[in-house]
Amino acid sequence: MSRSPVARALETAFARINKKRQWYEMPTVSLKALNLLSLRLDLRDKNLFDSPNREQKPRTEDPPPEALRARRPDGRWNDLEDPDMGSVGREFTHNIDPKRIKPEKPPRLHTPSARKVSLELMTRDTFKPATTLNALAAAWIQFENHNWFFHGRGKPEEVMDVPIEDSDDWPEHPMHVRRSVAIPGGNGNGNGRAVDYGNTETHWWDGSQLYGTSVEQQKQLRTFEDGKLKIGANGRLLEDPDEAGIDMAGFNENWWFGLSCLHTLFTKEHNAICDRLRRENPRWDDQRLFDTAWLINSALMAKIHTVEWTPGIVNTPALWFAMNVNWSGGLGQHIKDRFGRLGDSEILSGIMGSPQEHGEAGFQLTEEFVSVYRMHPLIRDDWEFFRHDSGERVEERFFDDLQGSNTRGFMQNYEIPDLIYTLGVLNPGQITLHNYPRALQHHRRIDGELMDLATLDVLRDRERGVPRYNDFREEMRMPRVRSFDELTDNKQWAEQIRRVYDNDIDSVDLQVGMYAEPLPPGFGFSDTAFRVFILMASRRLKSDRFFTTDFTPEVYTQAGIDWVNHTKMKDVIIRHYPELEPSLEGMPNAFLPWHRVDAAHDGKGPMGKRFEGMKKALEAINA
Amino acid sequence: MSTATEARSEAAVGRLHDASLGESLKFVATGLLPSLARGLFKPRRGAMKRLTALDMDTRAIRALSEIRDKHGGDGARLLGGRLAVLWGAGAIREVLDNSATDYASDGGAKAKGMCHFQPDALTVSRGADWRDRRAFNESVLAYSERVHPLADRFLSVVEDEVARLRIGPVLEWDAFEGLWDHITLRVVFGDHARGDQELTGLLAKLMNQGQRLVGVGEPTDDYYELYGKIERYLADPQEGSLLSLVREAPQSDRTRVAHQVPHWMFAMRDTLGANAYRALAVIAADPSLCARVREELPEGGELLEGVLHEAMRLWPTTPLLARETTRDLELGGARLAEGTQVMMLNVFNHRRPEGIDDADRVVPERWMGDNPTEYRFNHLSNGTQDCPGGPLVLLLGRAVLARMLSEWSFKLVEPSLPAGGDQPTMLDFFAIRFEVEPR
Repeated sequence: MSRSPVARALETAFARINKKRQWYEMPTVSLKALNLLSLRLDLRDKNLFDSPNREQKPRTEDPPPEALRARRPDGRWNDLEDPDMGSVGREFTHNIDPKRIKPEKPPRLHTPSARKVSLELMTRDTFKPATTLNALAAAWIQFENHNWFFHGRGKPEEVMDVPIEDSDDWPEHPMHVRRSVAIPGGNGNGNGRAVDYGNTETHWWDGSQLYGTSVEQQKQLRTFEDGKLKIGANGRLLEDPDEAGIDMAGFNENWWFGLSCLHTLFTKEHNAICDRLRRENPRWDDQRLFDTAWLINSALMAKIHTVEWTPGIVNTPALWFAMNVNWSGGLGQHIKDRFGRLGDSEILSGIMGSPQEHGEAGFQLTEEFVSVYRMHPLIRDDWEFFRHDSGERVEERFFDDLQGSNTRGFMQNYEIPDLIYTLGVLNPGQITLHNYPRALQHHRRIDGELMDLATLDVLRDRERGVPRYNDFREEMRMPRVRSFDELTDNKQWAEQIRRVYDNDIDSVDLQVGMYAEPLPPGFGFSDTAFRVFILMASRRLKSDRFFTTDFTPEVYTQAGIDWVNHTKMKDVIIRHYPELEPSLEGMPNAFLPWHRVDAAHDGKGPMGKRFEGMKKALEAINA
Repeated sequence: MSTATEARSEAAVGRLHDASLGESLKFVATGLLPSLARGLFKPRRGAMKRLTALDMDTRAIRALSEIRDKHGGDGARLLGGRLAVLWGAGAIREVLDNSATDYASDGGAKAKGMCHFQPDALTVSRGADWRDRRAFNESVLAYSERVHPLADRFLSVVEDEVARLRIGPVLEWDAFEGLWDHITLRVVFGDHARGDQELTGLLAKLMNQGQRLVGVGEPTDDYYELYGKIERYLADPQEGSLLSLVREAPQSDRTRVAHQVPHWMFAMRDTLGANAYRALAVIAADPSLCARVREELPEGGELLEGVLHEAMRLWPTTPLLARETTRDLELGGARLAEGTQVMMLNVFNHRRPEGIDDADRVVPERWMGDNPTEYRFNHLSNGTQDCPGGPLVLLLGRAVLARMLSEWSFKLVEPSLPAGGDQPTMLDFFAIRFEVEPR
């Protein structure tokens, strides 16, 4: 493996420093950013793996002409040399050498019982809010997860028996949890025990939650007029013809009103982009309008995730800087707008528009990536609802009433802006121990299956061979923790974890460790999760032809490029719901808690709002 | 030991002659000093590397071969009688059968070093202390049982630890040592001690201090901390651990229970760990042997145990056994004054035993079936002071190798060992490296 001298030099320097001091403990923002860069280069060099049995056959077919300037529903042909890369059904790979992947089997699989972990360490005692974020941020990450990955629902006849205590009130003893569905016909990892699981979504950041993953699905979603997606005359999504109570969408599993609001927003955004494109290109047909709006809308979602959601939840100046470098480059969007790219360097001019490149392995999402995005504690159990205009509190509801087949019925009682306003002003939960939504520990999926998602979160990692916390850290080249007191600075938690894991620090599950570890300043999730994140976040951009080589006016149109570069989440919301502007005025980031419009908060002028917005941003950093 | 056996062993002792001063010095330089340099009870990584590069054991073998060829008999007196070195089965048997009485093992550098971390251990005891502690050790380690009463538990520990071991694409010593660290802590102290690397770390530190050739001083804080920790585990022994058997074992005030524990720890963690690692190298280097061993999986049988014995024999982790005469006595017609150091150089006796074929080769069959005890092969020692943990060593070593071989295929990358041929005199286990493939 050839490594650049810069990467080596940085690694040598920081490896020594990081033994004593983590990146976020560096004295200056620039040193933090440099340390992060070093970690990323290091991870890129050492933590990307292809499936060993992946066939590297020369391409025999030519790309269909439409694939050159449009995404394909099934994700094929993003890489023109390897048409299947990242496409729907392709396996999740690993950020760990596949030779070391060991899916757990009983008795290890149930040591300790995942249900015990759920009940004793995860159960929400009191709601612990993440005060620097709003609930829109919680909905957003699920919205994006649905863009990226899903392992499928599993088969009712293939289950694992999770041992549970006699006193447990769960209806079945043992608890049955469906196995992940393996890709038929091969284990793929080149070792006799690891199993490959396929992604039911495309691996690309292509908006498949909105646009689906097949031509048939898109047919159902499209109007075939002016490139637009279907939406009701009342501005609401249509009902799924096969599942009463939930909306029709490219991906509509695990549905609730938060997802519905975001789908509504970005369906409208798609249609607004179509209007703009049609004005500029009156001769374009429906397909060209659809394809180009799809490109622009998915790039916009990727951008919002990169430069707004991420710095919102990982709120530290080094990361604001790093995320903007990822997107626009170290010189900033203004320089890039004015002078264009200054060469291929992603450091100077950002990943957007730089050459497509996969590094050490072809692009697929990884099981480890899926694992670190398990963030269910973000979800509230108890929701208060407000009117967006008066700020009046209307009612309080339990999460069960707002999700699954109840979703549409519940939403009928409100205007969409009321619901978005509610998401904007409420806090989500902190991603920590003892803050798992009770509703999700006793969750009835729309197909009737009863599940404890906290048990599932733990069990899925074990089942798929994602290592436990300490081994995981070692794989990410982080120091192992040697004791329970080192794992967490909460003495009570340390004792509880010790009890559940019978004093065995190496058995602590990844999820538990991530929820327990002390967070770097400003962080909404763990530094451990963050390591996978810094590797994969940039890779999702760098590997995608439509964010790199083909992020050009020829493919997107200049209007499209400008739309992506100059739209923020706030703009999307206000474009479609201008009545929400007062709550967002002066807010630097739409995922911070919004201004409330009730009497107590009223009467501030634009400067006052701006000041309050900055104050919230600073509070978020200092949290 | 019956009187009849004693009579027979005495009868079989060959003569001890006097070696010249030159021969004596050569033996000391090539046999004794390198043994001290590599670390008497805990091999030092750097020293192992340098000694292996110099092939010191081959030099020792050569020097001692010259003495034996010249004088014959069962051994020789060196340096005017201060030292004796033995190679004949009869003389060795005589000494080992009378260890702890006439030939005590608590003298010399080894005992002095060991006193730094286990002054009251069985291996450095004599007389009534020795008998008391021997009975205690035999009871806990189940020396006379065919199978240790906790064998099933220990095997499940091994199974769990190997299942948790994450190696690939290579295996190096550190990972294997980590495996043994966990197994040792769980077997000796119980599952809840698995993460107590402070405990094994303290012992390692004291052992390293103890084998310094100079400046082994008074007990340090580490010493008291080590025994404090052991006492705490003893106060609340966990079901299924060796410590849980302590209460039922014969003991008295002179047993010094806590002081018996460190030996179990390093014999399992360091010594057996290194031996099993070398055995794995032997198997990986020889495809036909590997295929035969695999036929015995998943449990692992007599053949695998034979390979483990052979690895221990070919590269003895205890390079020499030393005893000190407790009175004036006679051995092989030579007078040995009280305080004479009697040496048995395992690296020589295991490789150049007269009358035994293919001593440089891996022949696991030597250990299969009912063979008479060979007193010159002392990796688990023989006689009254043989290793009371021997059966446990074989149980755990075999289980680990069997589990490892079931989970992975191993290709020996470094160093190279000749399949079926004469094995190199030295095999630095720190340097053994495998490529591994999950099976």
